Amino acid sequence: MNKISRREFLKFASFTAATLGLSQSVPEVAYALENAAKGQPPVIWIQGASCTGCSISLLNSVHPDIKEILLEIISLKFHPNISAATGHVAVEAFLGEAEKNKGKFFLVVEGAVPTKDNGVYCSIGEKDGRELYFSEIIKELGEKAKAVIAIGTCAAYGGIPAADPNPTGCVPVSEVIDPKKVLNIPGCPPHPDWFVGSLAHVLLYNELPKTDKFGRPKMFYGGIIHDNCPRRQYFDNSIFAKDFSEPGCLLLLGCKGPVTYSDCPTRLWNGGVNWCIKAGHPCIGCTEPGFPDKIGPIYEKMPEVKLPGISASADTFGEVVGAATAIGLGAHLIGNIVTGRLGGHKKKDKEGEK
Amino acid sequence: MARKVLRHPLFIRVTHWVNMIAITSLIISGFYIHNPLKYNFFSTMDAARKLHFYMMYVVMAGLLARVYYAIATKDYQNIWFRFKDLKNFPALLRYYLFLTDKHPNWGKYNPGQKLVYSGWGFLLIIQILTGLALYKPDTFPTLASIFGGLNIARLIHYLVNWIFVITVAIHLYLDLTEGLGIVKSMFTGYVTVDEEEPTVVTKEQLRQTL
Ligand code: HEM
Ligand code: SF4
Ligand code: SF4
Repeated sequence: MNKISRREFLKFASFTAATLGLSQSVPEVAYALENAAKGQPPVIWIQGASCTGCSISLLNSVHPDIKEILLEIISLKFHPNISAATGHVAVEAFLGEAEKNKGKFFLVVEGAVPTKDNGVYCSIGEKDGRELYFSEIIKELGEKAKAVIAIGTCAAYGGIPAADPNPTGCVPVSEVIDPKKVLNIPGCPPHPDWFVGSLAHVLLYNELPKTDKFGRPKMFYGGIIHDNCPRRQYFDNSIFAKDFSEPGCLLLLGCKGPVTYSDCPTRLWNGGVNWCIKAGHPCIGCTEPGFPDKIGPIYEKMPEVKLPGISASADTFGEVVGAATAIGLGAHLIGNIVTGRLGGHKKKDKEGEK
Repeated sequence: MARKVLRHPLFIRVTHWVNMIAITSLIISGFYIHNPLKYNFFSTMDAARKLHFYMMYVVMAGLLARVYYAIATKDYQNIWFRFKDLKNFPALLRYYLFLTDKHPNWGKYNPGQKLVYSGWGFLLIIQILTGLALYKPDTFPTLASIFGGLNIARLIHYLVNWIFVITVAIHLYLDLTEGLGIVKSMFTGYVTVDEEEPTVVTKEQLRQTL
């Protein structure tokens, strides 16, 4: 295991401080992270109903790079994708670490929790000849952990595995573990900075960062995309792209920027190279609770209206009800004329049934 | 003997027309904000949003003033929809469906009008809350979370807008077909009543509204 140099370490510390908006406190950040690197506090990472995309996204982190994060900065005791051990050895490894570091370790959960049929749809190993269901394991580890980081929209809000019809009964981590203990880092996938920055905050201040009502750290999810979008001038001046070859605001191609909290436009992705809207694709609202169902079709402005037996786009719904009203009023007008009632009922009033 | 009686005191007339202008502008600019290519009523999004946001303050003040007046002068007795109004609905429906010609005198407003007018108060509050969530997402993130996220707030805001469109259309239709007397009273305040025949306005209600 090659240690990173002091210089590299400070570079990372200052980077982390910058992510947190704390450029004055680089030495403190370095100190906190150095302590973390000494094995305090340990991190256990487990995966449920997920695609591993969140772990992959973390590979995108430039400063620090993924190796530094996983091996030097945090004391990663277990991660399914990089674990050399397999089978019951691996299971015993993380259960053992959890027991040994009870009340001290951080649990990172990637993926939603399938709960239907007692959780049979996601088993993450075996112990004493019995399958270990993910839903049981995270309850057990969650109780022992100091805090839980739900990384990705699946872990935070259910995400794609919990989308309609949700055959495996997936729920967010905060429905299985005490939500006060859980920090949500949504995103499909989340930006590496959101995870590393939140972790650094926890290490530095020894408490979870301030969150909004959906458990997301305000420092990353405090404003909507639309308010910082470089295409905002197009929006204000009503220059809307009608297809992907045109310049302009992507609103009518389904952009969810006006309803999505995240700092993508200022943080940028892939080490600052690009991000969804700059690349010409509408924001799909990947950090929002209810993604993807309640955020709606990717290329439509609004989700469908679902009533028993009917599901229609919000526009169709409004237009049909509006047309029905117009027809109803027209028919009534004919009735009014035919019965000679037009002009009021005054003369026919009888004493009221009060 | 015919004589003029006050149906709508000045306060009600002023708030009525202020709210009418505000809500109409909100509906028109709202449709543009929703789909600027389909409902092309404005030059730019900026212009439409500016109007929408000016009128949002007007409608907030208008609602507040109207509710204050209703409470302070006990005018809510005329307009507030109560549970007991429900049992008068079948009679009202029979009248509207031409099954009878009887329009019993229920007071200043019939139960259907009370439902619509009280409902508007309630719907405006929903529009103000969802609207503020969309307008100032950084200032009121909690507001968005009440509705389950900004996108749901946006959907509610849009669907409630349609309820306004429909109910305003019904309101216009019914008032215009009730005769010019009633329409004029919202400008002048007065209706002409024939003492011999009971009218839409009873004396007790008039005393309350004066
Ligand atoms: C009778 C009252 C109102 C009606 C009928 C109305 C109607 C609408 C409609 C149809 C939209 C377009 C929805 C969309 O597709 O995004 C809209 C957008 C909006 N309305 Fe209203 N509105 C009303 C009141 C308000 C109030 C009181 C506020 C503020 C407090 C407000 C703030 C907004 C905002 C911020 C937007 C979204 C702008 C955007 O998408 O960028 N509205 N309104
Ligand atoms: S592209 Fe999306 S986020 Fe950017 S201005 Fe248009 S609607 Fe807003
Ligand atoms: S721009 Fe939107 S879709 Fe893209 S990563 Fe950010 S929140 Fe997700």
